[in-house]
Amino acid sequence: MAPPQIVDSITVKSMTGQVIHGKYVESCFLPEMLATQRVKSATRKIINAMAHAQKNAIDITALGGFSSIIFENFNLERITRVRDIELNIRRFTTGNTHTAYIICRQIEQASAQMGLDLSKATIAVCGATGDIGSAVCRWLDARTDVDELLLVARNQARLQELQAELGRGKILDLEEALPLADIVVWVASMPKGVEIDPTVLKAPCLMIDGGYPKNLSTKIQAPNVCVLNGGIVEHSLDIDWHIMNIVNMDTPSRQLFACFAEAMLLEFEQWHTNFSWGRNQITVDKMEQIGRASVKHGFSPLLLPPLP
Amino acid sequence: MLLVRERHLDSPQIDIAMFGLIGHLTSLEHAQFVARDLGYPEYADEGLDFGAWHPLRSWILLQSKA
Repeated sequence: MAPPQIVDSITVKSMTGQVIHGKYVESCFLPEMLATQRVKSATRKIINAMAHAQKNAIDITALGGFSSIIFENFNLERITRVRDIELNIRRFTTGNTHTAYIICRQIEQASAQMGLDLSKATIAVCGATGDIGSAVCRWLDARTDVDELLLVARNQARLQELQAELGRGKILDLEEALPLADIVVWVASMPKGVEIDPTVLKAPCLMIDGGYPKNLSTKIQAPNVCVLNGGIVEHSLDIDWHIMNIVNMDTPSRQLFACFAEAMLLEFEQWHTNFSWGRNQITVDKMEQIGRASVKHGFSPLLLPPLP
Repeated sequence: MLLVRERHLDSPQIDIAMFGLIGHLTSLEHAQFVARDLGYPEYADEGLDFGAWHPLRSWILLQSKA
């Protein structure tokens, strides 16, 4: 089994002038491992990468892509020791709080770009019971005047819990929800991706692809349907790294995953703690807290390109 | 580890606080593309225990020294 490796060193200069340093750890995990029922092997790769990060004295590490999704259904506390390393969970963050915050800001700002009025809009959150999805629902309920929330997920019990917590939201199947939504927030992550028939979508429709992998923009090409990659931040910071050139980012020098940015923010603010961890622990207050740090250090949500 | 030591030789901040990012390539196809793109076709036909991180690491090291 290929071991984890540190493949890049990173220096970041904040808008405030503060400079921090970091490392990129390649876990040697591939998403196909989940699709081919190699979950144990996949989990082991992520845990080994965490141990490697800790062994190299990294204070706060974000778990990117599927690395954090694995732990939504896995009790990491069952594994505390990896060879000679006692894993300290407080050194790791899923980055989901910042991702959820950025997706919410994308909903607010991209809908305005399209002329959609949230007070008259229906938003379908697909993957609503996940860590990010439930946080997005909480924000939309508490911080926006969105007219209607449609809650879409596979687990009915969790959907009902979320609906009870929010005191609102209609529970619908994906096929029922899509034709009703002015805005679709896709925060489900599936190794095999998903097939969506673009002809059932409203026009106009804003679709925010906050899942993993991000492939809706290539699958959905229809007039008046705008697909925006969700959970991506733009920045004008000086970031000296090379790894982003090969991780499928549209503008590698100016964009990055919000979950990665969370580790940078925690380092800038010296919040060396597992700011985002577990499932459904993200509060609106914590989203606002990380959001303030995000703005302070120069990150902003990726938005739609200006009309030609 | 060798790479880390080499990079640390260039870095006076070895004892300072650091952040980390744990990432992965998006798919086996992507990994195979990266291997070919970086000029390591010998890795491009591997399966799920893919070795693309070897050319990946070499490539990044070259970039950082360029």
